[in-house]
Amino acid sequence: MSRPVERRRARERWLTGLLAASALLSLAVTAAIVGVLAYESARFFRLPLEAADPALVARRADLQRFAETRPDLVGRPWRLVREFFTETTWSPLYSAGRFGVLPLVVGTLLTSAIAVAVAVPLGLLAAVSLSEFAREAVRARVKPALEVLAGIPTIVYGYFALTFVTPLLQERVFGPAMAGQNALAAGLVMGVMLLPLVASLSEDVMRAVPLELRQAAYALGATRMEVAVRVVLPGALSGIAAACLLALSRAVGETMIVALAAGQTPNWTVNPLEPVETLTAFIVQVSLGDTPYGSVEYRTLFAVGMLLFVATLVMNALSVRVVQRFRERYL
Amino acid sequence: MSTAAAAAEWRRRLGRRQAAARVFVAACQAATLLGLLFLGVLLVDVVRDGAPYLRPALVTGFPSRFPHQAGYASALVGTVSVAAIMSLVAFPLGVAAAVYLEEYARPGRLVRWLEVNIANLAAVPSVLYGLLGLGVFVEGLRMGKSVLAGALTLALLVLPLTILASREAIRAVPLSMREAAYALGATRWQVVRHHVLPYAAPGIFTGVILALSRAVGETAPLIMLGALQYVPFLPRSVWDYFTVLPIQIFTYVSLPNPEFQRLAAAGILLLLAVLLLLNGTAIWLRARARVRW
Repeated sequence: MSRPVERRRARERWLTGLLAASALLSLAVTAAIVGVLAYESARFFRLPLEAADPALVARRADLQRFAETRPDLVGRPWRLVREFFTETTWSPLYSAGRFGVLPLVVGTLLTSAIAVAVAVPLGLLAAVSLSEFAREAVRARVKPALEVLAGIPTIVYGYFALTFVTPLLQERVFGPAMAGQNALAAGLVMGVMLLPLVASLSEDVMRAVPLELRQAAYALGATRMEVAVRVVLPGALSGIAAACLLALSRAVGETMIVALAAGQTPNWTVNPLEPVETLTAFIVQVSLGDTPYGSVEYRTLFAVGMLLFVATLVMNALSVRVVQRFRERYL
Repeated sequence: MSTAAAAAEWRRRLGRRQAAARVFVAACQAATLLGLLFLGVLLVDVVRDGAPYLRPALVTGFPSRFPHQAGYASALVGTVSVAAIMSLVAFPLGVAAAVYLEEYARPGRLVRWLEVNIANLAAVPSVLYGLLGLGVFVEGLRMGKSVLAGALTLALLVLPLTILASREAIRAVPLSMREAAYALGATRWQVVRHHVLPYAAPGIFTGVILALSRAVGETAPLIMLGALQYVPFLPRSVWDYFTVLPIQIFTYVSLPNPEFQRLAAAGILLLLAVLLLLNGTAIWLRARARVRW
């Protein structure tokens, strides 16, 4: 009599286990990302130690090259750490390679700053427009259309920045002072790509501001702008700040637009008309060539990747924290 | 100041405030339109550049030194095979994880951890998934730069998106459905299998298709897997080298001959057509499935 029930119970048990295992897989993915990046970047910073080991150097051509061209680093891993974080020449692909990552960091900050300077003001204005001024029918059409922008593959934006925006800016505005690959065009196009993200997230929080607050302000004689800027914006500030941080983190991690349009030359500059290389573009550049497992180039990939991972993680965590700390609670 | 003077002053300010409001509203509308205008210019530009290359060789031609012969045959087949294998791996796992989190797990520290973790994974730059794939699948598990390694890498990339979308769809199924089934003596799995999943299916499919279109448009993570090689053949097994549409486009854009840039534009049209097809299906599913409780 009880056998079907028992069979059913057994099935329940192993199915529950299976489902739980799938859920736990996401933890394993995080562990794998952190593990791979940490392991390989540790091996990058161990290069000076390996180069000091004659047996290893004899077997490995790239270590031999490293030991010959950078004798100042051999046996001194801390000197490599200091060079990585403080020096301003990044040329790990050349024979007498320098490993100062700051040009890549500055390139990333430059393109991201331009993108955020475009995406945040325009995105906020668009969000105000959709949440405060547009009729429902208009909103229902415009919002999905804006979201199409977010669904277009980044390679398409890269193509557009390289073959349309840069030539246009060269011809009409900057003349030959603007290089064929530059931070400005990449940043501008990236900004437009991030516009719907800022607009959509900000609009959601703006609509959550209670109607009574707006009505109270209007009753006191405030204009539409005053209501939007002095009532709705402050009420939605935590969500807006989170949206901006998220946009910044996306800009920092964005790859194809900057790899195509901003260039692949590490450049210690903040001039937006010059080519710059970002952290992500460097990863692409190295991957395009042949990078044998364990070689010096292979390890720099992961050291740069680790930096990128930590930077975006910090920004995402901050954005979550901002929402929790500064949210206005309406009853 | 007399009352009359104060009133005049107030009126003057009111005029200024109203003028500022008008400018502000116009600026807001302009910002919204700017996004749409940009989209329009982008599409027109790509169509104008790519139109001459919309010819049969676009889908039948292999990469070649001669732009008039070159096409996207291997990239198209690569995209389809990678996307198919990725779907087989990522979507069952993603839906299973969502079912566990929504229907099985007791709220507590573990669930909160998993949620934070999934949200963080969804925000990791895609290029880092490429490094993960390179370190784990290509080198660690010795899969080489193959279709399988590419598909698994993309599977990890879309897994968090799938979980998030599926949870949303499962959460939208009203509690009363579950309670009715439990009241009739159904086990947890029976409730999930016969009641929750069928009702959540359209929402899940929509999320899955959106995740799929994200994967189809991804370039950066696959570059690490060596998908950039010149691939003048169709992949025959999951261990073969491969290329995909966005990467083939990237290759053509990078070539100095301007004719290849036009070919790249035509490739972009092909890619956008594939995405339009996918998203059209998603919208159609969502419209059909709009059940009101």
